[in-house]
Amino acid sequence: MAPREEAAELLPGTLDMLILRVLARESMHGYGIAQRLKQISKDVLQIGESSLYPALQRLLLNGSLDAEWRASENNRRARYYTLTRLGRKHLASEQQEFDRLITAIQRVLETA
Amino acid sequence: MTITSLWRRLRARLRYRRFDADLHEELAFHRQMLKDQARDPREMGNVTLAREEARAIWIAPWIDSVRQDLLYAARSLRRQPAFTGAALAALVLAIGLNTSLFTVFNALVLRPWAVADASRMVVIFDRRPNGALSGGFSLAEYRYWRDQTRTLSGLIAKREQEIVIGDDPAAERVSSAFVSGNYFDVLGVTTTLGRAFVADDDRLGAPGAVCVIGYGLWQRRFGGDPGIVGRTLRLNQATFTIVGVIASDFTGTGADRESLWVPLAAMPLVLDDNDHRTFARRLLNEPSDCCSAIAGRLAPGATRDQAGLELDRLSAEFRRAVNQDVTHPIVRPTRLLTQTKGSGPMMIFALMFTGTTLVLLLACANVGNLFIARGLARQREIAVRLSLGASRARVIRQLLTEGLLLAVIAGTIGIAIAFIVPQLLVQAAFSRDAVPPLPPDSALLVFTCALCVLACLLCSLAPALRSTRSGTMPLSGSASGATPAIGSGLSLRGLLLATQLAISLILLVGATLLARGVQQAANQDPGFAVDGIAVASLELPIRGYDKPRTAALVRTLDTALRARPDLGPAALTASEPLARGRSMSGVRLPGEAENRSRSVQEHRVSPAYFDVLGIPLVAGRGFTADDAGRDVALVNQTLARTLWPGENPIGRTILAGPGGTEIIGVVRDAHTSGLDRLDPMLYRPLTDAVPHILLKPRHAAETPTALQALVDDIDPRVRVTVEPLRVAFDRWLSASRVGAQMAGAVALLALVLAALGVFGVFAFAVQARTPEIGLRMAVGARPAQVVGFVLRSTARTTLGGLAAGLIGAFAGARLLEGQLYGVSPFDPLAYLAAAAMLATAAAIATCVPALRATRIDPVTALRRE
Repeated sequence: MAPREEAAELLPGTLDMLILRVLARESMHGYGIAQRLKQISKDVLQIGESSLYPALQRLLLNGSLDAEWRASENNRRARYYTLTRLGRKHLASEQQEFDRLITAIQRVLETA
Repeated sequence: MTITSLWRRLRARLRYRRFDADLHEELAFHRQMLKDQARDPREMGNVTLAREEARAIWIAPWIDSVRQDLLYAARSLRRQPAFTGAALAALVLAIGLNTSLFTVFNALVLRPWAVADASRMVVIFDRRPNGALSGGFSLAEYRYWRDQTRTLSGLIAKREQEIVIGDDPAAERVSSAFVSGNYFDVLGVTTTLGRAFVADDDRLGAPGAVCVIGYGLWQRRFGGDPGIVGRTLRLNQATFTIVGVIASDFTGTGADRESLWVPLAAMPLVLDDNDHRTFARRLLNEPSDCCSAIAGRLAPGATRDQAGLELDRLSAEFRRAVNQDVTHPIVRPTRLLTQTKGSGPMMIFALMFTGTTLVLLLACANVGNLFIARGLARQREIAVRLSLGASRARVIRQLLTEGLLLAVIAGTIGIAIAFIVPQLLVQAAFSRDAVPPLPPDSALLVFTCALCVLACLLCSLAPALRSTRSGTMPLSGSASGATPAIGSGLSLRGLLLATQLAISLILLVGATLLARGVQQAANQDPGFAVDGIAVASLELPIRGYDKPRTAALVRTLDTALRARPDLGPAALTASEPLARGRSMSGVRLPGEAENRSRSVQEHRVSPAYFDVLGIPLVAGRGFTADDAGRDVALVNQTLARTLWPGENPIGRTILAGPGGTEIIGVVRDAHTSGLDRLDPMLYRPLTDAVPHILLKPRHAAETPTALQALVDDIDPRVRVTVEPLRVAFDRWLSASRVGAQMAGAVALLALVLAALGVFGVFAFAVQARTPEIGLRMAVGARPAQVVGFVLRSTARTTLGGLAAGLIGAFAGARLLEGQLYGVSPFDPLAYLAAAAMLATAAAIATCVPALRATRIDPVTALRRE
């Protein structure tokens, strides 16, 4: 079976950031988010439910997302998540933070 | 955490199910999408974990588990109604009763005065040479103290008085008080209309003819008239002006509720009749004329001890200057306890309090046993939970939650009881008709809640700890595997059972002793005739009977009764037998100092009194017509023994008022002042006191009309009420009877609880040792032997409990001595009765389990193993 819980090896909070980034383009339901992540990362990032949904709830809680029930593509009821303005702010700040971190790690790897 | 997120959390908690359903639906959708795309739904991973993690974001896990505990506790309590009902009943009764008693006690006995900052107020008593505390000092001395004191920021004086207000026919008698000008200031009592007194109102020799009325009187008599200030009011014969109305929660600082206050200096204006004019003037001015009640407010920073020392010094100074005997003022706080002279109600409550506390302990022991038994019965369930991975702490917490839930329910009901019962108690104990509502105060409620919670936590903690002890449980096998053998050693349950038996025995003995006491009181010879005597009380019109007119009434009545021998033997007396009030007089022997005078009951009677009541003369002679004008008296045996032990009192003189009084005879002791006491009594001829008529009627049914007609001939304004003496006698007994009944109720409660406890323990013993019993029966034991075996296993605890109970009863019985009317606290009949009752109850309680034991089918029992 393909490795699944790679998201667990991500730094904490990274998953939240990724979800926000995915939703920045358009609103999606949970399955759609997981698919998109998998697709864009070329199957590297495969997020399981026990990580995805708690993350979504967390983002709902701190106001980064709104949720509403809508009909999906195949006319089933699904919960769609939308990025809020606060969410955009969070996304921006977390991206900034992440960039700093990555730069720092890279520098260490190059010079040390 | 921001407000929005808090808000969202709150909403999540409230709409828990909706959120859960949403999440469930969401996950189902996800799974469906996977299937649609022909992918393995198992890729989803651990759905349950997903849900739990998601939920944990919204609701802190610990709150969730507490909620689970509560729901589970409620369910399991509901599933075992017998246990829940028994435990609740025990706790509610004990806590409710206890709280109610404490409320009454608090309200009547421990509450300080209802004035501002009552803890800084003190009352000054005088300690008499015989050790008793008397309530007052002369006003001259009061004024000296008031001017000189430093430790007291204000000193007030008060003298109670009944005053007739208003004009006929709307005249009424009102409890009032003469008070010093600073009275309301020092107490910190405000007026709701007008003003209180100022120093000018209380000027000696030039007082203001002003008065202040109470809120109740204002509403009742004056209809709450807002223009009351400035209106005049007739007080006795004088006219006064109302200057203020007191705020509603103040009814004076004495035991009676006062409605009217007048400045002390105005006393001669109010008491202006011939009898009292001089008296009032003397009281205001003479150092030798006692007594007014003195109280004061401690100055900031002063203590009671400092005040005591200072007043001691001031008093000594004053008394030396006026040539009086020195005394020692005592400074006390303003709790009613220190001012109640009669210890009767106090004693009742102390005893009842002890009784109900014992019942509370008993109930707790009972509940404890119930919890233990239940804990043992749930061994399996607990073992399963432990083995599934629940931590020990978690399981204990769950068991404690059950106890807590029980405690909360019991406490709530108990508090509800505490709001209702106290009034009923006061009405029963003091036979008052209208009792103000007695709400329990907050400290009491806190006490109850704490007691409740503590009781239940303790009761459920021990079993919880024991049940979850690791390594105790083989999962297979009956619950008895872990049961400690009952009766061997000092098991906790055995101890609790023994406690229950002991307590109920103590309470039973107490109740039977009291019952014996009442029986004794009812049957003993009171020393005077009770049946066949009628007591007629006269109600004189409020105005118009001063001393001379009353004396004339007595003479006329006497003549009229003598002219009617057909009515039956009749006598007149100022105080009827078993009267509630008492007339006391100071009696000294010639040559004794003034402060050695004894307080003795004085009865003013007509010569026929002793004949009508059947009190025989044991020495000397009774009153005759020749004694008119001479100062003579009769004494009873007790007084004769006190004054002249071993000698003949006839012909001796005593000092009881101006001039000497000669003793002309001795009568036998009679319980006319109370069935439980024989007081020293002095009898003098009735001259000018309001009389009661004692009659031994020939035709009882006609007595009221005949007497009313007779009195109507003399003065049609006088009303006559007739009551058989037997009724007064029973009424007197009823107070004690009520006490015995209440004690009986408490004891019965204890008995029932103890019986339940015994039943519980035995039932459980039988159930737990069913395999053993089955085995015994299988090898040939007969039913009787089985029963014997079961009984023997608890013999030690039972006997231990009974022995402890007996010892406790012996120790405590002394406390009841004052209430027993002469029955010994070690009366064997009472103890026997109590023991018999307990034994019977216990026997019945063991019957059912024992029978069940004999019916055990050995085969089934063994198969369970």
